[in-house]
Amino acid sequence: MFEVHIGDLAELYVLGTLDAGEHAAVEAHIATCMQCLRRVGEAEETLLALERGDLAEPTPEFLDRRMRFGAPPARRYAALALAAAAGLVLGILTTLPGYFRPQASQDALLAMIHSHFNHAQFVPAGSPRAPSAKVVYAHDRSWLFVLADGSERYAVYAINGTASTRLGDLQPEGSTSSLYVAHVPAADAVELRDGETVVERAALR
Amino acid sequence: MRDSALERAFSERQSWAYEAAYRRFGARMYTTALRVLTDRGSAQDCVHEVMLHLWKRGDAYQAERGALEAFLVTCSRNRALERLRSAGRQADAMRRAATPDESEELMPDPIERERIARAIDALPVAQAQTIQFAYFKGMTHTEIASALGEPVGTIKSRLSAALRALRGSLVTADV
Repeated sequence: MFEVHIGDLAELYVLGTLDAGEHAAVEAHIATCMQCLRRVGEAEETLLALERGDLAEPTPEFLDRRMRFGAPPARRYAALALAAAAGLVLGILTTLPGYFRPQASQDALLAMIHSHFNHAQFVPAGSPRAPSAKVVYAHDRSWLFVLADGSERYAVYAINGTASTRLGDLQPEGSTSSLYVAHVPAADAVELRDGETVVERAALR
Repeated sequence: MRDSALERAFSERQSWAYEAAYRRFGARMYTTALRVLTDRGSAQDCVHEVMLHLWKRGDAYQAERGALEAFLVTCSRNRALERLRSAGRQADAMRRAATPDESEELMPDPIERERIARAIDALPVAQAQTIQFAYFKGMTHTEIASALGEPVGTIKSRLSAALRALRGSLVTADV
């Protein structure tokens, strides 16, 4: 459709004023043209600046309706009853307070119920702000669950030798924070980081 | 501040990045959709549709494009406009969009609003008018051309110039 570049259509694409055919043509073009992709990106940043004049408060239902991508399909169990039973049987109730928070720990809870796991305490790496934290992980490393005392959104990294992979950020829920990861890369340790600073580290067996 | 690790992981379709992006930018996406759709349930559905569509597609975002938040907000707005147009509720939405301050859902940021208003006021009158039609009322360039009685090509050029001018006054380096 375009002889060279999309030109002014970049801004119109972002503003949503194009018809369906033009919209699709722009998408096809920017998939292969870095110059036009960047122009579209600049227009998107302008749109975002316009959007910052307002902020709507999402409903509680919206906030609770977390999205999962690539996680196993949710199973239809009586979750809270199983949570209580599993927690008591495994003797971890007091060390894993996040389990009884619906949404945040549901996947971790189901993973624990259906697999064997280890756990390891994080050891501070010199930071005075290091919270008490623990990682629970499957024997086969198919999942891990990090829990920390405090509401800091530390980044969680999987460490494999000298390589590191960011797994996500701790998500605060009340006075604790946690992160469940469904697919864990090869790792011999897990670190909590504040920016580039390693706050603490837990060795995996 | 942009999170380059998150943006890179999102472009590589890593599940944690999609979840993190949803948590971090979902509220802004929701606001954008709500402004267009003026219905909380529809706005929520719109945001989830966008995230699931991107997850299934997998290749829509590249970090070279720009800020991930800006990309997601644009997707949210475009999807909301699609829903609106496909439902044939344009006229109703335009009527309501003309009085956005009456919405109980939107909490204005007075500083940002003032900054945006000043930036739009600084545009040439014709550019400011087309931005009002396109951005605040969600009209297509064809509809704007019809409403103003001007050629479609003129409206296209004017809209493009207006948005580029606004970038100069609204976008800071840390977006």
